[in-house]
Amino acid sequence: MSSPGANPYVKVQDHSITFRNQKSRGYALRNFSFTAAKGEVIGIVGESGSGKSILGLSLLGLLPESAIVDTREVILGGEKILLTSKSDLRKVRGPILGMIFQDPVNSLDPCYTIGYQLKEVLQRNPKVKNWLTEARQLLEGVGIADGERRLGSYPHELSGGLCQRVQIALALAQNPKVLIADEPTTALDVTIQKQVMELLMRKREEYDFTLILISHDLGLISQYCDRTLVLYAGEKMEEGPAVEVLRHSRHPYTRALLEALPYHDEGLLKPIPGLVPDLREMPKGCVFYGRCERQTEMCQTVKPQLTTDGTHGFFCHHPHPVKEQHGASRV
Amino acid sequence: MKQKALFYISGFVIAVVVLVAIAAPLIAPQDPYQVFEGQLMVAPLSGAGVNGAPTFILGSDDLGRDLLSRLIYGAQNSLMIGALSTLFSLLIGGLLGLVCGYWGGSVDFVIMRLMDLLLSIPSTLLAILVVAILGPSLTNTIIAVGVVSLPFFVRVTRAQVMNEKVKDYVQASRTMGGGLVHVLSWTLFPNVWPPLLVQATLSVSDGILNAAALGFLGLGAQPPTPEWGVMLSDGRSFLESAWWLVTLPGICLLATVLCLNLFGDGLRDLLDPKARKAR
Amino acid sequence: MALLEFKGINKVFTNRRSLTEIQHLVALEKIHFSIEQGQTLGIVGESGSGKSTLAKLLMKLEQPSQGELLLEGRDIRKWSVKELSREVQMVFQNPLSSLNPRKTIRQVIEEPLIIEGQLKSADRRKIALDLMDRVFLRKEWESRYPHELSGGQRQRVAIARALALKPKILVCDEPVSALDVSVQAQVLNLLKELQAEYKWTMLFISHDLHVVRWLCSEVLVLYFGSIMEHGRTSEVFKNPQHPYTKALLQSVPSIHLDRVAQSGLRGEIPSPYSRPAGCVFQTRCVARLPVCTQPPPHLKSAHREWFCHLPPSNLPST
Repeated sequence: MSSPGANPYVKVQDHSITFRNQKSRGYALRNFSFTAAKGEVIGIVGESGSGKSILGLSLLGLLPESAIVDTREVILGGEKILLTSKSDLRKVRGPILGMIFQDPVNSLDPCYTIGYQLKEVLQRNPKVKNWLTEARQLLEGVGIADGERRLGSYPHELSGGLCQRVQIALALAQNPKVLIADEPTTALDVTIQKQVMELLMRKREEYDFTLILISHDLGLISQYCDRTLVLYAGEKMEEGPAVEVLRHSRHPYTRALLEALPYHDEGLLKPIPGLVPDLREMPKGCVFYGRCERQTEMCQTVKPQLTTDGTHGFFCHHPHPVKEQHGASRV
Repeated sequence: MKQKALFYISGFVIAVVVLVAIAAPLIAPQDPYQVFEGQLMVAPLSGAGVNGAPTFILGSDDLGRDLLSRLIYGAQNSLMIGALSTLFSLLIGGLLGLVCGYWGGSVDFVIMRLMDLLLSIPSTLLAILVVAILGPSLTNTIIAVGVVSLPFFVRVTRAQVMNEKVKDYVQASRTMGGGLVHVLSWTLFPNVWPPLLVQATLSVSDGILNAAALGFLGLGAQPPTPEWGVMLSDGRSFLESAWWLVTLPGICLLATVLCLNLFGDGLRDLLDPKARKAR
Repeated sequence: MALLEFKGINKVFTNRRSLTEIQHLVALEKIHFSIEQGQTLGIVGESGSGKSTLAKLLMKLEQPSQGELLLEGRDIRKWSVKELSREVQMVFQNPLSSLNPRKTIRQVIEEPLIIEGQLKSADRRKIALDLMDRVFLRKEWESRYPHELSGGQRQRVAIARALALKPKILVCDEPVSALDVSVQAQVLNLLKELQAEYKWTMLFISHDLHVVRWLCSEVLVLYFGSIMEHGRTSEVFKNPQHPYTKALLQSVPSIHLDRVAQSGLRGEIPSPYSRPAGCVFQTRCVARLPVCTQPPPHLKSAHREWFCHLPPSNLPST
């Protein structure tokens, strides 16, 4: 892994997204920054309302009119991108940034065959001479054996797992430098999830893109990601190597999330009390204030700054001590 | 905000029209059937005092009757036709739609094809057909106009029932032991009626228009009954000599129908529980 | 006597494609198991495995094509829906769609009592408020509508509604899969506490094996409408016998698992219209034998049973 910062391949600096309606405005994402190296797998984890899906959409310029994106710098695939520029966004979509959505069946156009949808993308790529052979190869590459026949199929004729493979093929057709996968396997069965994730991993080695995996599934993140970022209520809580963050989390929120999982056999689970704060009335200090076990008065008023211990960074006044394995370990 | 304002204004206009219709005997300055001799087609606000006749605020018609009084009583008849014909199609159409949507199958097929048949005939033609069979009168106008809007009610109800009946909460009701009556009335009905209500407000305006069209063709309410459509038709021949005989009933018709439509649209937004403000 | 017995249940859906062509879709085949009072049975399997059909049979939303479903020793066909509703209640997957959007949450909870029709409205209200209290919903919320609540709160309303008639059996169809992790824990805790309190029998349908292991005393693994393995949760999870159970367990990502290349499962569930003869799992099985085209034998050991041609492995001799 190359050191991030020196020559960033992917960099998002101070990225904020606000939603405004007539009466109020609320942050969906606040001062969010991250970097990623070429070929790295970054996991963005959070619950619903954490802003994780908004991030992907904002980089593609797919947010609704009511969203205001305010950002200092965005670098994708080594190129500086202006999110306010329509031509930049057009340039980004496809060859630089690809996206895979959660619902595989509805993300494909139901009116056209798989072949037509692939053709549409491939014909825009000047390097492709014969789209048909390329399409066949792509489908074969994502593990669709009878690609020839599938080219004539409509999305509703395919299972969810196959549709997700087609979505991956469509994204790969443009050879993107960065691929965002937003909950790519949430709608799929576990056995199919494993196949799709392993396919994504193989393709990452083959095409050498940076994969941004957005998920709520901590297990998935720890299995497949190099580094992970934990989001809560639109703010970054913790970041670092995935296994490190999830096995030795320092931030109370990450820890609380892990402890809420049914990973042990006996006794009751430990839910996180309270609710996610209203985006329109965010606390002044730490956003996790009010639900946190370790909170003190200062957490209510003072926003925590980034603290690092080597590889691992977190935003907390009262982090858990270092290197304390938690949660009953088991296979 | 603009939407809300339109909703309130249209609601207000409708309320005024309804009040006027109800209070017609109290507020109408003259008997709508009384003929004032020698006062034919008096222009608005003129002709006072001749032969002991009153001032005609909105003029008089070709037979010397007070136009304002006739408009007021006309509101009564027009609204009644609109409301009763809507009630007719709401009850029958709602019931048919419920049957079609809930049971489906061959019953659904037969009823829906019948409705398609009704839809395939132009609405005025259909109304004329019904009146031709039953004979022209106020009651038959109501039935004719009701038959015209029947398919819309059947379709709206059926679609709504089909949409809702597959949802988990209906299944839940059934697993709780809810019988047919419970599922239809307690569970489904509250989720089915809001679009029906919207359809009904829109249908009242359609009903008024259709009734007016029938009246215009001489097949609706029969003279001397004051009804806006009939008045429009009678005044047509005097368009050049007495503009008010056509214009004023026309404006009444237009305003009422427009407001009913605006009100219906507003109601649709209002009845969506998700649009209601959370407490 | 077992509280609930599925005796050789088959469920076939017929689908008329045209005037002459009728397709048969086998949703469940030879389902045979029983549940004792107070047990929690987890039903796991992929989509298309027939788990939801199983629940629907029990709720009488569907009728079995063959076989008997006995509740307290009496064929379920002889139970009226109303009688059945006093014994069996259900919690659905999506709490928003399973609650009537135009009823307040008190009305929602009262619904089974309204159907029962024996209590006056004041008594119903009292019961509903007590139930709300029991599932940790504030009583002041009685006149709120479902869309005004959060996902976890909605699911607690659904649980309160299921409790209203004090059923003996609670069927939960993926009750937490639509919820966030932190909220999921609240609902799961509530279910476990209530189960300890009311001693009810629970059928818990889930695709989340972690949840099943935590909550259920027994587990039933379904694949393509057939039982693969059934037994005590701890045994089955610790030492799965059926290759499908093994594959399922290996497919679940866990933060405590080291990243080693494990054998997952290839392919997908075949089309429901082309059911393989013999073992239904043969098309995806990594340990497939030629004999697998024959119906698999019914194997048993202490506290569990499974259907497979492979010889048992790692089993303590009994």
